[in-house]
Amino acid sequence: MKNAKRILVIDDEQAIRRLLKASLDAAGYQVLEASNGEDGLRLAATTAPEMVVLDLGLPGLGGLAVLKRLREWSRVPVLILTVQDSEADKVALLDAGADDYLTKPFGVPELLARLRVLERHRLDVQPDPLVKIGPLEIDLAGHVVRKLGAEVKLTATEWEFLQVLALHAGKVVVQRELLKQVWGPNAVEHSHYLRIYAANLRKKLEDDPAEPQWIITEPGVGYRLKAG
Amino acid sequence: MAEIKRPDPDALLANLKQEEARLNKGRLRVFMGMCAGVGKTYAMLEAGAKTRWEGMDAVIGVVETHGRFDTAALVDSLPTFPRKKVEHRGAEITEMDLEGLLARKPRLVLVDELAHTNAPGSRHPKRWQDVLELLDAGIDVYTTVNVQHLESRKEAVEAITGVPVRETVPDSMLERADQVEVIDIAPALLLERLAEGKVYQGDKAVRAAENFFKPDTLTALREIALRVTAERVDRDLRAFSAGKGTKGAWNTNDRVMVAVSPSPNSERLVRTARRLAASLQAPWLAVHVSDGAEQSPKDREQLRKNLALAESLGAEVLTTADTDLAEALLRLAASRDVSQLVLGRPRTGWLGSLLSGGSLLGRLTREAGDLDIHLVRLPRRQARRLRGMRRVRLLASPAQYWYTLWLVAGMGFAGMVASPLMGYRAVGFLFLCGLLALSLFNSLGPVLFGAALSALVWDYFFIPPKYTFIISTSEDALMIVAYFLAAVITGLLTHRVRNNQKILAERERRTDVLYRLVAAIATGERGDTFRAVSSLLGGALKRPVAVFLPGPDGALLNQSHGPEPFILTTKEEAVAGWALSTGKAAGWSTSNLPTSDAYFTPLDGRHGAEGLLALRGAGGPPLSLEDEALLKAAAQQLGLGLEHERLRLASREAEKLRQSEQLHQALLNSVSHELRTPLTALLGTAAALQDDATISEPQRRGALLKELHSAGGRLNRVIENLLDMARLNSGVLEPQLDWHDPAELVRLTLQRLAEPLSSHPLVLELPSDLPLFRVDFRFMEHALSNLVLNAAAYAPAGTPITVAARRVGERLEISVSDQGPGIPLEARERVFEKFYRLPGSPAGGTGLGLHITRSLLKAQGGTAVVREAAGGGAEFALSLPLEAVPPPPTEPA
Repeated sequence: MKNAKRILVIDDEQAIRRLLKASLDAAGYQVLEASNGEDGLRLAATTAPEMVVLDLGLPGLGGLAVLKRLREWSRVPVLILTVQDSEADKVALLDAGADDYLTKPFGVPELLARLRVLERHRLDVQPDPLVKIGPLEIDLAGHVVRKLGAEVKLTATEWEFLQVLALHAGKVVVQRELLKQVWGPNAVEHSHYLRIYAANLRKKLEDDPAEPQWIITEPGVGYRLKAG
Repeated sequence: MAEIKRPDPDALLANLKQEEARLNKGRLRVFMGMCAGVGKTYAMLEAGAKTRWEGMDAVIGVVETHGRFDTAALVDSLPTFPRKKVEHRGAEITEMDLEGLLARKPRLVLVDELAHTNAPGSRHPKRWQDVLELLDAGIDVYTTVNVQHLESRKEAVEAITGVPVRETVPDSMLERADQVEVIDIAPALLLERLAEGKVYQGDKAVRAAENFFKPDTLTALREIALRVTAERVDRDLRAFSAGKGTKGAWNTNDRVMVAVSPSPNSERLVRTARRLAASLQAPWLAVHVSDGAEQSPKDREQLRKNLALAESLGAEVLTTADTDLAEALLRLAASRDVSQLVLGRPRTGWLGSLLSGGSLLGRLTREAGDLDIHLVRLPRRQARRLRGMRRVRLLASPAQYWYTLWLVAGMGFAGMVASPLMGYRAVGFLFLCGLLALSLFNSLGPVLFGAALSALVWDYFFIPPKYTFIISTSEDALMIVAYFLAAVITGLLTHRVRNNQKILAERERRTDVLYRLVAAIATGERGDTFRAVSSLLGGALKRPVAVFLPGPDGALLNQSHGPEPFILTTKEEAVAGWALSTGKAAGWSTSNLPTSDAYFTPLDGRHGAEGLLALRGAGGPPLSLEDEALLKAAAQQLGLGLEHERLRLASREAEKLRQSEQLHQALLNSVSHELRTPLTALLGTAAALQDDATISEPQRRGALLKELHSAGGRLNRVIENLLDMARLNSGVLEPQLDWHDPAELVRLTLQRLAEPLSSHPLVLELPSDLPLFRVDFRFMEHALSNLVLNAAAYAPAGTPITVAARRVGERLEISVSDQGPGIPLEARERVFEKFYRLPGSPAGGTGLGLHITRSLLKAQGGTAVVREAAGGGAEFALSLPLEAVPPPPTEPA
């Protein structure tokens, strides 16, 4: 297991650490554990893990504070575990530099899927100009999207919307960020644009627009292009 | 006769109150002497030193040694609290540091010379007021006083010594004392001490010997001092027997009333009334009846002093306005159950009696009924004073006299023209008519002047022989006398009627202001009320008025933003703070901190001051008694209103608490069940999974794992409901409204519930053209989950559940219908109540789900209702208002 990826788990609850260790071990990761923020930061500095799973509700130095300190010197992908179900909090986390979040209780398969996405983004600093997701092929260089090999006509705005999602394929893109990138900084409050354009894109790209497979809504947070 | 022996409930109550008050307040011990030099200060210091020995925290607030060595030696045995330096006209005076003592809060303070007058600018004009404040703060006080300084003995002492007494202490201070000790010394011994220079040094001793220190004077003073103590002992005994209902307790229900005027002699009346009241052990009232005439500033000041004296001697002070003094006194006496009336002997002449409908005394005695009337002889200067007052009333502007002169001249001219036609006698009637008209618009002086002048004019110009004042016939003489009398009497009567009208109008105006105040306080928003009160009062008193309430940090905040800002200076803030903490009126026009520019009166609730009513007064004439009464009435109404509001808030708080307690109880009951069901499933399945036999059987293992997962999901939903309930209850749940697609919302919600809904086929009716709506996604998801899970729990397995979204007018409706038993009509509202569960509901469930659903919808401006579904089951609907969706910017195709 020399080449196993090191994952640092920072969580004060032993039960959660045990669950994460068992499932991550099984998935072939090497797990480092810290039970508080200070230990976690020290381990992150000394062992240089490939990924960090951080619990938000840490005693003492809170999860958000740990995240902010970590971001001062490291770009290691961070997945946050949170019990907070307020969307505003999640958005705040993503803004503070978290790469993704999972709400407790969560399923292990979901956790592993998110970690795979993070890993991929960590590796390709230069994004692949050809994003392949299920039957879709998004050619970022050629500004073309193909479904099952056939080109799908998109409007300029639809393309920009899809492009932003594709650049972060697998990861959630916060609503405000999407609005800013597609419609400019004055449009960040107009979330209904997103609803309308997401619906249009689904009609053009999804098999069943009512049951989307690829363009996923993260209610209250943003959108995610599901990783293949 | 048993009635007589029963203790008076009022007396018992007074006793209780006194005892209660004493629990929290400092104890007062008074060392009283017949004059200076008897050793009061020494005795006080000795007693203080003794308590110090016993370990009590005693300090000297202020003591004058007058250079007496033995006293000075004793002073050194006690710590002296440093005095405060006060600058007054360039000289530096030291006074007792009241603020410092209140902050230091020793157990006992020794305060010499209770009657001392403080330097101007001190918190109180008098030292005894300082002592009262110390006592109110729970600090014990030892103090000294000479008998001549007692308010009620002042005159007796003046009569004996011939020396005016300037500084007095109200008798109520002595009554307040828990212990009064007379420091007695034989006059001969005192004179000996004086001669030895132990009392005063140098020529001070000589002067003192000339005035005070004569054997017969001292004997008389000694007698007064001893009598004061004897009265006190007597009173203590009576208080005791009144409380205990022993035979011999007073059996009268006396109440004494004294009529007070702006005369300096009224002080004497007040003291007499107080003595009478004390001897009868009766409550007493001091009343002033204003006749509506304008008072000179000097009179007003004296009246205020008289009434303040009465108040300080324990009287209840009332003022009223009426032109008929007798009528007013009788009315008050009847309404306040007065049995004894004290009056100065009136000096109305026969004319005055005639005009006022009989002499005051005559009317009072005729109509008094059970009232005992005490007449007090007033010294001569009273009479002079009364005439002086009359003169004041006759004063009118020179212009009025000028007009009168012209009117009479005009009438004379008219008479010249008319007299050849109707004779000189009829001219008299012409004059009379003119005078009547005059008295309608003028004050008394010009009317009387006009009467005299016109009589003379008539005589000189018309009555033969003309152009002389001689009257030749006796008929004419009679005519002119009758004319003059008629003119004067009609003038007086008209004047009285007008005055009465003025009083009535003024009373009416005050009643109106008061009525509108009460109405403003009873209704309306707090801020509006304060604004209304300050503008009403400000208008009525023609001075800026504001309401101040203490904020959360204790700072006073102006609550009434009137036309002019009312901002307190630092000094006024201190005065206001004092008024608020003591619950007494303070500042301008009062005896507490009077150098302030503003007047503050507390808004009294039953538990202390709720705030302050402030009035900016400096510069104008002092507050009239009526104005002050109006302010106090307003303050009282406001205080009660505020207290009422506070109590209402408190009771609402209590109701909330009760509900939350009920909630906790119900939660405990139902939650234990709700939580345990999935927990049992979790633990049971986990245990089964540890069994080797199960592990080796993949199919069974799969089923168990699935169960494990679904039990966990159930547990999670229960917890979510509980959390939302708690958040709703504490009011921290704020919806975060955002645009959402209703169809997507329904689908995402149902996706997460796939497992618990697996036994019911789902029918979705989601048209593709649904408008977006602005909601909180999580609120909606939670509300909808509750409805769908409810349907799954109540409808038999296998029956379909329909979830539909549709546009209904300007609203969007999401409905969930099942084919279960439905909900009876009478329970359709109740199902949304907290903890309500339909009879015969399946086990489990907290009875919270629907309540939460409705609360979540309400928070977003929507509603939740239940009705009968098409197939007979229940149909729950969530309805939300639709807003216009602003279209996104168009783009080139």
